[in-house]
Formats: sequence, structure tokens, C-alpha cells
Amino acid sequence: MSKRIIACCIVVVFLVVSGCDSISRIYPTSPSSTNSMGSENKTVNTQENTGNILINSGITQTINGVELSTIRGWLANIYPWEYDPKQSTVHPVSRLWTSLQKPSLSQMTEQCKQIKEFGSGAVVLEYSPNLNLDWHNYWSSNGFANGCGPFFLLYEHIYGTRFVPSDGGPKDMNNPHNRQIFKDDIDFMFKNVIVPNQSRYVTVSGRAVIYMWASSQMSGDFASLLEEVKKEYPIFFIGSGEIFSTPKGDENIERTKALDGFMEYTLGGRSDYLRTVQDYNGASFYWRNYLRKLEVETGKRHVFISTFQAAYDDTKITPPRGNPPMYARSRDEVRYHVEMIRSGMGSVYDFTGPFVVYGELPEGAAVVESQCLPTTIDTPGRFVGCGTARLQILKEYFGW
Amino acid sequence: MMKTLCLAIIFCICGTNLLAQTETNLPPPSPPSQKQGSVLSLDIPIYPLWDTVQEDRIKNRTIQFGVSTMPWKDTIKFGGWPIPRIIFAVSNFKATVEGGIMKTLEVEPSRTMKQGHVVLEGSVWYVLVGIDGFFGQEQIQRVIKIVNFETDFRRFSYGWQYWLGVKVGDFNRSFVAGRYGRGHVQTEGSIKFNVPNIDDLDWFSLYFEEFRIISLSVEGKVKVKFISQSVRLDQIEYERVILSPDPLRFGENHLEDRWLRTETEITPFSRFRVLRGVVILTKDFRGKNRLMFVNDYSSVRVLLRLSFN
Repeated sequence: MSKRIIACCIVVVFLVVSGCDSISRIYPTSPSSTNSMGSENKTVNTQENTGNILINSGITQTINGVELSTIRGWLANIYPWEYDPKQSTVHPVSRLWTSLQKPSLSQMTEQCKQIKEFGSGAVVLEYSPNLNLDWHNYWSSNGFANGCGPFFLLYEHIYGTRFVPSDGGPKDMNNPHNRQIFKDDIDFMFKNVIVPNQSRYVTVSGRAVIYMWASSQMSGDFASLLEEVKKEYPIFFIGSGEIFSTPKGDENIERTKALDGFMEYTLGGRSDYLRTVQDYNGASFYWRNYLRKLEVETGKRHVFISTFQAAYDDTKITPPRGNPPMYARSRDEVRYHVEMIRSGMGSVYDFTGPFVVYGELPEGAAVVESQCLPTTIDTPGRFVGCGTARLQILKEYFGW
Repeated sequence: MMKTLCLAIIFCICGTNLLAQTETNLPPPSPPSQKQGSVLSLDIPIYPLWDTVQEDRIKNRTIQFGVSTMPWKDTIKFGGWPIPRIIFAVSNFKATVEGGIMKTLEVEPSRTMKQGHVVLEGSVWYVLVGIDGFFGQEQIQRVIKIVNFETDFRRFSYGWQYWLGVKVGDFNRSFVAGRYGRGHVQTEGSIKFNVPNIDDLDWFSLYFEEFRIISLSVEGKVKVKFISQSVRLDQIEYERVILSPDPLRFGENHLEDRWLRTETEITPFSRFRVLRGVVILTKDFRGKNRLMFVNDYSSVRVLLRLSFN
């Protein structure tokens, strides 16, 4: 008897299933998606996202610049340095740079023209607030590369600084002298570069971007200093040298949290180009996952910008550094590198960039149009990309 | 076509059921402790349609988001080696093993699927306990083109769960059971570029997600002379282990599946009871998030069963 009752129940349920076409019209496919989206947004730190900067006496609260997220094209790092052929492995054409000189006004104009022609969206100015280096005056003389469009500063905080030690790292940021120098430098850059050029200055939610190419070298309690400075100035700090290992130790973790974004300056100087770019790609994936966990914890969304590296060769620098030169074996290996970057934009990386060294000649990564000399022409198994070959690859992939 | 098939099956079930009731005097229901003979079945699928995730979700890198406002499910014809299922059941114990390798037929890009699933459950008195585990790997050739180069996509998932429940009846005859389970599932998606003249390139992770799962199910089965009918309602909730801070970038933290599955076994030849036909119908009510991990049969599944008592 009970078996018949069970059988009847099952048949009734079966009939319901058979007619379930009508059920699907009643219930939407995924009712949960919109509800949970709303609840998740509660965790986001609205102050970080809206750029609601604290007002401080005498300091502009928001920079009316060019928002980073609106910039399409690669970010070209340009330099106020002299071109020394004896110490360089990339040799720019004379139209862009004269031997043993900094780029002249007209050469900087030509560099800007080329950068734009090949698809760059903004430039990153190698800059030091240490007036002894005279870089500030150099950039002032050409209107902070005013032919290049939007820009932001690469704050040289390792070499030629007023920190202790002045050259090289790491810098102990528990040292009161170093803390004060950092504040003074930011104050100088903010008042003398950012505010006067704010219509062209790159911002994130109204905060001016300052890039530190080796933030990992700022040891000690750098995090509290960053937070302190950010309360006084609307600055968005992008760090570097951080992504290749998960931060360990309170100071490193706190520094990572306090930085607002990450963008590698170089992928390193290993001999195998293919291995280097693949390792960078893998490290980037793990770094994005780490940033995701931080975002859950703090509600702060960090920016992560990719980096393109055409080659690395510092073998002419004296005294020798001992790094092996690194060149792609073929043009396709470089294409593979940019293909991986393009593929990761929007998921691993933010949809900005990549960062590209345009003119650092001694490390051989510069993509500037260069002379094709016997030492810089492509040979079987070594793609150098003299002329505009490196730029053409960038244009192909990022010249939006 | 689908409705016609459903009607035909219902007609068969009702007709056969009534016939069975009029023709035979059914034995009284057995108490749970009474042992029944063992049943060993080999199921061979003969209907090649499988549900998988849409190609666009692979290209957009949003498989790990699960069901969302974006299109999700695709039904594809697979072939090659079928994925067979073996079921061994006695009164208080049931084991199911299923797995194999399949390839898409007449569909580009080509997909290769390997998956396996093991379920073990047993009861003592009315108390039911069980575990299951699965793995699945799918590889899709040249599915994403970035600028110059195409990429292959691969995903690998595995998971397990255990449950506790109540069962009345016998696995190999008729029973009613309810289960509450917990478990863990993880999935990783990767791509590999196809670059001419460059070999041995790495696979790169696109996503890696872990979920804690909570499952609930209610199942009933009745077996008479020439027919066996079961109905099972399942609900699974998935909770992301590494939380997503933004559903638009990483997907929802909480996902759900709910489906109803009926399985009808018909013994068409009274003198040759070894050969049976099985039709499994599934209706999903909350999308089909389990496709994040492995492909699943489409809503209609037809199997040829060899059953040995």
C-alpha cells in the first residue's frame, strides 16, 4: 500500500516537472545576482573611490587633472638625462637626442611627437625635487614636456636624493630626517609641479599620481608616512618592486596597503627573455589575487598597471653590474609579451598602460627610435628592434 | 519535440504503473532491516547532448562568475567515448561510478572533456551517510584570439562533499531519503598561447576559485515489476572562499543551484530483464552554476542499461 502511495506521489511530481516550461517563465534565471551586488557594494570604502579628500588648510583638496582611467595608450617614461654612447646599449637617432647632452627643447618636442604617433596616452617624467640635480629646471624649461600631453611624475627617491643614504637603497623611513625629507619632497612637487600644471596632470579620483619606481626600498614604517602625507595632499602613490613576492612582515604589508597602486619599472635582467616575461605574467596573476584579498579586508581598490619590457642590457654601465643581457630571440617573443599584457588588461591589470621605458638608454630597454648599428641590429636568435621596431609593436597593440 | 517526448514517457510510466498494479499483487513493503538482493547496473548514454558554458564566457573570462545577467549555458553534441555509469546497490548501500573522455562533434572550437564522479552512501537503521567526489577537465582549442595569436583554454576542477540524512526503504528497491551535506569545490582556468616557432609556452591562470558548498536533497524511488521511477530535488549553495570585493569584477560571493531530476527505468522485455532503458529529465530552477566546474548532461538524458540482479 505504502509503495503505491510513494508511486503516486512520484508520478505527481513527475507531471509537475514535465510541465515546468511554464515555471521558467515565472522565475528569472538568476534573481540573486542583483541583490547580492547591492550588498557587496557596502564593503567598498567610498572615501577611496570618490576621491573625497580631506580638506586641509591652504592645500587644494582635489586636482582637476586628467583621470588615469580615461587615458588610452601606453605610458612613456621620459628622461632629463644626457645620452652617453659609451654607457648606453640603445643609441637614439640624432633628431631625438644628441650625444653627451640632454634632449634639447626641439628634441623633446620631437620625442613627444613620436611618443604620440606611436600610441602613447601619457608620459611619466623622471623627476627629482633635489634641485642640485637640476632636473626640475630642465623640465620647467620645456613646460614639463608640454608637447606630450598628460603627464605624471616618477619621483626619483633612490638615487641623487637628500635621504640617508643619498644614493641606493634601502632608505630607513623610521629615520626622522628621512621622514621630513619625504614630506618636503612631496610638498615641493605638489606646489611646484602638480598644482601649476594640474590641467595636464594625471589623477585618480582627483588625486595626483606620483610614481615611486622602487617603493619596496622604503623600509621601516613608510606606511604611516604615506597615510600622513595623503591626509595633507591629494596624492595617489603608485609603487614598484612589490609584486614578485607576497609581502611578509608588518611593515611590508602595511606599506602595500598604504600604496594606492602598483606598476613595475622593470621585469629584471635575467638572460632569458621568454622566461622573464612568462614569470612576470604569472606573478601578476598572483599579485592581483593578493590585491583582491586586501580589497576585501580594507575596502580599498588598488590600481595595477602592466609593464612592457623590450629588452634589458646594462653591460656597458661602469662599474659593471654583472647582469647578463636579455634580448628576445625573435620579434614574436616580444609580441607574445605584449599579447599576454593585452590579454590580462581588464582582469589582471587595469585597463591602462602599459608602462614603457621610452628613453632610459643605459639599461637597454628604451623603445625610442634608435640607430641600427652593427651592435644593435637583429641577428639570428637575437631581436633588438632598432629603428622604430619596438615602437611599432607598441602601436600595434596599444595604439588605441 | 521535447514535450512530445515527455508526454510519451509519462504515458508509458502511468500506463505501465497501472498495468503493474492490476497484473501483480505487490509484496508488502519491506522493513528497513530486511536485506534485498544486490543490483549491478551499467549505463551507457545514447543521447549525446551536454550542457556547457558559452564560448563568450570563456572569451570574456567570466566563467568563474557563474550564472549572472550574461548568457551562460550552451548545449553541445559530444561524441567519441561515451561516459558510462556503473551503479551497485544493495538494500543499505549504493555506489555509483561515472566517468570518461569525450570530444565535441561537428562543433568548433574543438572541446575535449575528461571527468569522473564517485558516490558512496550507506545506511544503518534509518540513518544515511554518504560521500562523493568528482574531477573534471575540459580543454578547448584556439578559443580566444587576442591580436595576433590564438590561445587554448583549459579548466580543471575537483571537489567533494559528505552528507548525513534519513532513509526509509531499500536502495535497490523503493525508498525515500533526505540528505544534508557540506563540501568543497575548486576550479582553475588557464590559457596557453599558440605562437608560431615558439614551443613549450606556459599555461597561465585566468582564474582560481574555491567554494564551500552546502547541499540539500530529497529523493524518492519506487520500483515495480517493469518500471522504476525516481524523483530527486537538489539544492546546492556555493560560498566563495576568497571573497569577491566586487561582483562585477570577480563574481557573486553566494551562488545557488536548484534542480529537479526524474529517472525512469523501463524493462521492455520480460524474458530479457537484463536490458533496460533509462530516461533522465532535469529541470533547473536557478540557472546552472555547477557548469562552472564541469559540463553536465542536457535536460534530457537517455541511457541503455544492463542490469544484473
